[in-house]
Amino acid sequence: MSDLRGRVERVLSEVLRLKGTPRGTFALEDALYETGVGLDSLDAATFSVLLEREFGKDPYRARAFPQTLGDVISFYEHGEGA
Amino acid sequence: MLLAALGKGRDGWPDRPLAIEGEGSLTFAAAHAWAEDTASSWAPAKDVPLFVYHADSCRVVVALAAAEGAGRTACVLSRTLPPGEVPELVEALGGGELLHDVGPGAFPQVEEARLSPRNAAGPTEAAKAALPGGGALVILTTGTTGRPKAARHTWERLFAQVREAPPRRWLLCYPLNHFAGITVVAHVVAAGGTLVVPGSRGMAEMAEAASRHGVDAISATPTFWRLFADPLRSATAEHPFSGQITLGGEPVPQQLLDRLRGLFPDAAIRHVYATTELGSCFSVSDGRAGFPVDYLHRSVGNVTLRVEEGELLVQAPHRMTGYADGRDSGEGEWVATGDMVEVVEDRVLFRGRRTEVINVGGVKVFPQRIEETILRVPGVQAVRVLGQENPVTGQLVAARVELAPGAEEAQVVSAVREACRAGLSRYEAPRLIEVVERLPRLNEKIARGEAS
Repeated sequence: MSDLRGRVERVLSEVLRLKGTPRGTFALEDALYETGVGLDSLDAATFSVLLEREFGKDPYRARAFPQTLGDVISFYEHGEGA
Repeated sequence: MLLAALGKGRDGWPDRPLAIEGEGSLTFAAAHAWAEDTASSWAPAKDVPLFVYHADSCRVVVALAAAEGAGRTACVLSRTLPPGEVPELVEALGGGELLHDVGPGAFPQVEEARLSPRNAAGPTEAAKAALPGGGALVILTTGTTGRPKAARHTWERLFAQVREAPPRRWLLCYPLNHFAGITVVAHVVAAGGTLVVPGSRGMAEMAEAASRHGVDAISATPTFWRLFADPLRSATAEHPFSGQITLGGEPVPQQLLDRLRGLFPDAAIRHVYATTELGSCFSVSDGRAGFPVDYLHRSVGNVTLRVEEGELLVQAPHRMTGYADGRDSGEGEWVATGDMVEVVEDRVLFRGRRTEVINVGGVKVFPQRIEETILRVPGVQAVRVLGQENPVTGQLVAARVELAPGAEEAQVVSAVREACRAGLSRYEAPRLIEVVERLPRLNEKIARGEAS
């Protein structure tokens, strides 16, 4: 597992811990909301703030909100590679 | 008014100390003579504003009385301001002379003002009679929520806000650049009381000074009282403090009132509503947070109150006469205070500043209620709740927590989360909790201006 993915997953785990539904393992295609990981708007806002603190950049400030864990990771991969 | 009130003291109780500072004291007679002498030397410069940047509270009071007698507008600057910023501030406030204690020649850009020597022979009767009087006092707002504003007051109005009371010994907990500090001076001088000036800002030393000098009135912010209550109780262990306890400057939570009542069962505890612009508006002494709802339907002292769209509006006849730059006189008008309130049964409760409302995805959240919940958690010494910007919900509730000495961080944070989950809605419970070494304070209030 890449270090980038590990860092994003750690942030997501922290959001879920704060939400009270802890979870440690994720797949790249996991949907972040509703039936997937289950983030609601407050959780997504928390995810957004914590990602920005971790990486200095926030995928929720991109044109479209990320829908899957893979979207978040590719935002950073793309951002770092660009 | 201030100089005249000192004169009344000289005639009625000349040897009573106006102020006690360290081992020294200044009697009413001595203070009056000193101020009158200085006023005579200052009177020719009556159109030149006086700025005071001085750590000696006795000298500050004498200077204020002298300026008033000389017809000069006076303004006390915070002695915690770095000296390098003083000339710029004086300039921004329109310029004038500076009375200071930094050392000769410290401010080459600003004309220096001096007090007359203490215990000088004094002015002639003719010089006394020629004193113009009526000098105004400019008080800078704390600016916990932005740049300070300069409010112009008259001593007549400041004294009119003071209710008749027996002479008390007041512990000076506020600096004299602060409206609340000036209010304490007005109480002391009007009633012939005594100002006890602590030698340091340490809580234990202040409590010890209160005990040693027989202090029976203490006015301070809730932030201050949270830290001062235990030291005061220890310093007055045999006979717990039984004088007057005043809280003001920030909303006062019920839990703090209850704690003070428990520690000091015989004290008279009251909380006051006052602002630098409006002056002292009303006080509440029934031991309950907020104020009775019937205050909205009658006049309270000289003040009338109403609530509009959740905000407290006040009409206060003894308010400032305007801002020092000439803006707003608005005499007699309703003033929107920026304080949000909510009527709950028979009580009007404070919910925080209008500008601090946090908008979480369209739900308006008041920091006050969240802060009160967090402050009840053992191990929390101070807290500031604020909105964290984000692109999803606009804002999100974040809390910065200052731990009490010896508290264990992980334990307190998890207790804070638990208390918030149990007592607050999911929009209110802070998602982000950050432990900080010390929250910034301004005049013993938690600073609130900083954006997230």
